[in-house]
Amino acid sequence: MLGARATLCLLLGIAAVIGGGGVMLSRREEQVRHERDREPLMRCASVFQEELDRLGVLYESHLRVVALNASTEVFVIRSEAQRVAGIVQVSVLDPTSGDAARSRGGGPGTERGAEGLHVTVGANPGVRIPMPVFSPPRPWTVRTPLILDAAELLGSGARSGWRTEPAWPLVYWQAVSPRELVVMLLDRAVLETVVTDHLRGMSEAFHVLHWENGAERLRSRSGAEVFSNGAVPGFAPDLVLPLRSRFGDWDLLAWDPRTTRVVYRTGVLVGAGVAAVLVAGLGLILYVQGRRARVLASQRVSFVNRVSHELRTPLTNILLNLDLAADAQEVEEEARPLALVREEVRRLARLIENVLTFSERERRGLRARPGACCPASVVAAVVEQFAAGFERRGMRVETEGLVTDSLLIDGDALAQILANLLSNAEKYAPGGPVQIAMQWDGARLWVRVRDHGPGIPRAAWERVFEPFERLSDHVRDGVTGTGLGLCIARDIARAMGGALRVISSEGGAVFELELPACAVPGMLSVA
Amino acid sequence: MKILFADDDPLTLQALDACARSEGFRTVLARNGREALERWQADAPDLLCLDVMMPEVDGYEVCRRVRAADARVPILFLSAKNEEVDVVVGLRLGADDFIRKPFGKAELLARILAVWRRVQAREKGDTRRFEFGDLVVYPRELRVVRGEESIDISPREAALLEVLFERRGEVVGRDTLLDRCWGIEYFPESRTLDQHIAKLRKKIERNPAEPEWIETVRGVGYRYRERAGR
Repeated sequence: MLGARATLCLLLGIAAVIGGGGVMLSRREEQVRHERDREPLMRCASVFQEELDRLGVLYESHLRVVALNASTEVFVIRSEAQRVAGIVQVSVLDPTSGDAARSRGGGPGTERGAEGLHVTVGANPGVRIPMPVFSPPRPWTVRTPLILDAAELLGSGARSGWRTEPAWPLVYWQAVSPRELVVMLLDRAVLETVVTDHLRGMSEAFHVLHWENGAERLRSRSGAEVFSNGAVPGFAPDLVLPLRSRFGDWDLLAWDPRTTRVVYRTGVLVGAGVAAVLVAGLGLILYVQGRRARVLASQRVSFVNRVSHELRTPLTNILLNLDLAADAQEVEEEARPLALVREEVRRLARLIENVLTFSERERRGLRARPGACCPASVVAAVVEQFAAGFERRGMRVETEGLVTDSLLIDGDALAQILANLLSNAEKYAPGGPVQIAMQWDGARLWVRVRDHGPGIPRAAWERVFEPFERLSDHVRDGVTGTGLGLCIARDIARAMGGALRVISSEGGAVFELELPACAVPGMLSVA
Repeated sequence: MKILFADDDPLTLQALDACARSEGFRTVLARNGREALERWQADAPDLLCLDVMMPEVDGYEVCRRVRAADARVPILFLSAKNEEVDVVVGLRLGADDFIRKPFGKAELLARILAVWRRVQAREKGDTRRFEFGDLVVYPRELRVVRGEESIDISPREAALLEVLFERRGEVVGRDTLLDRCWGIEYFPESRTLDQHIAKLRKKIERNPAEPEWIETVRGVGYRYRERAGR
């Protein structure tokens, strides 16, 4: 039952592991986006865009003032230009003649070219300042030319305008007279920084956006952060609203709030569940089958036990009365049939004992019951059981070195082993002597039983101890038996902590029984 | 030596009684546990042989009650129940041995004698012995010893040896032997004495066909020949 329960527990455990593993494998955390109202974001973006547009108009008006004042001296041009953020160079050009700026003076930061005067404002070493020209420069020109098309600028009828070259500073030009054109180069980085700082002053407009569990961010395209609300996630924003101006581009980014939802992959879950149910079901089936088989076996064993027990009492009565009858026979010849009957009853008793022992072995294994025992007395008692049968078959028992000390050993078990070995000899080696030799070294007892029959081939030394195993079809040979005797003898020997084996011999079969056997403390030899 | 046999099977009880009496034991019989307890108190047997499964009071209970009152009297269980638990329970209750059915007369007597001897050795109350030929006879322990060999004998055989030894060299008449060894109330059959002498010779004589120590005096009786010789 323990085996069936263990199997059930094991399989239920496996089923639980499969089920648990399936749940874990199928489990997945999913982010659920809750789309927020877009209107406040659009409104905010519109506020910032309007501000940028306003700044653009305002800035252009400042540039126009600088351009109109550029007709005066160089120092005036520079001082005017320094008042407006971002101007790095002011060029006064005459597209029609090469000396338009000749009356305006010079000095450091001033350069006269073929087409006009170039005044550098401020010093930003990171900015590469090109030289605006209308005609392609001569080969020795050091500064990089920024070639302007006079016809395009002036021919359109416009008085001012912007020119945007991605690789160059921002260009603002203003026609101050039919022949004079003021071109201003503007540092984009400075403009972006200034505008960014300006936007940072509009925090109220941005922070009204705050949305629970969401995030917002306003930043320039170059990466400068203006504002942020909430923890900015690592993934891409759900909404990007671009803000554009001459001074640069900004983006208003928004992330919708998200919640985490646990979902299970149905396929994996169902597969694991089915597998777990199958394994658990298998365990239950095995348990039920095992239990049923065990109950059946138990009933069978119980039946065998009951029948065997019931047989014991009448067998005892038969044996005792046979002995009494044999004692009463005056002539020995007349007692011979009784001895024959007694021999058969003994055989029947051994058979029943073997069947019971076998059923006990099948049920819960054999166990020895050691007690004080004189091995020589056991041998004598067993030999006495076989005396009549051996005499009839022309056999005799020869003993050697029988131990007469009182040893701690299961006497009944030893008797059963010896009886089975002598029964074996009686069946297979009639007509010859059977030798029983004993040896005891104080801790172990060896008993060798040797017959002079055909012997046992080496290949069958183990097989003869198998239940119901017989070397040949002995029923045909006239030898009967259950095939349990040697099997039980060896099992009993093992239960006693010893061994029973076939050993090599020149003729006949030799069984060697080895048992642990110490002397009984305080007991003297009975001899 | 008086043995109490208790068994609910009348045939078994009868056979046990006959076997024991044939070997010179006195017997007390009981058909159930209650009767066994009564007989034990009334007859004070020297040894108890109890079946385990008996009506009214089972053998274990009888053993327990007897042991509670007497720690020394030998108790043997005779039972068809021979599973380990049965034996263990019996021995734990204080039984001296557990004889498993089926058994024959020889085994029964041998086990009874073995237990009796153990008890005697433990008590060492009677170490009486005498030499009989090349044997040493321990009548109380019901055994004879020749050199290294110990041989069990029944009370009847011990009595025969004792009578022959007491009158060594003389012919002891059949009637005397029967009176001394069987008792005046018992009328054995004509061959009973001869059969017992034959069995005794098988045990103690080297060659029973040509006995050295117990000589037959035809028509009269038997004589213990102290010095071997034919």
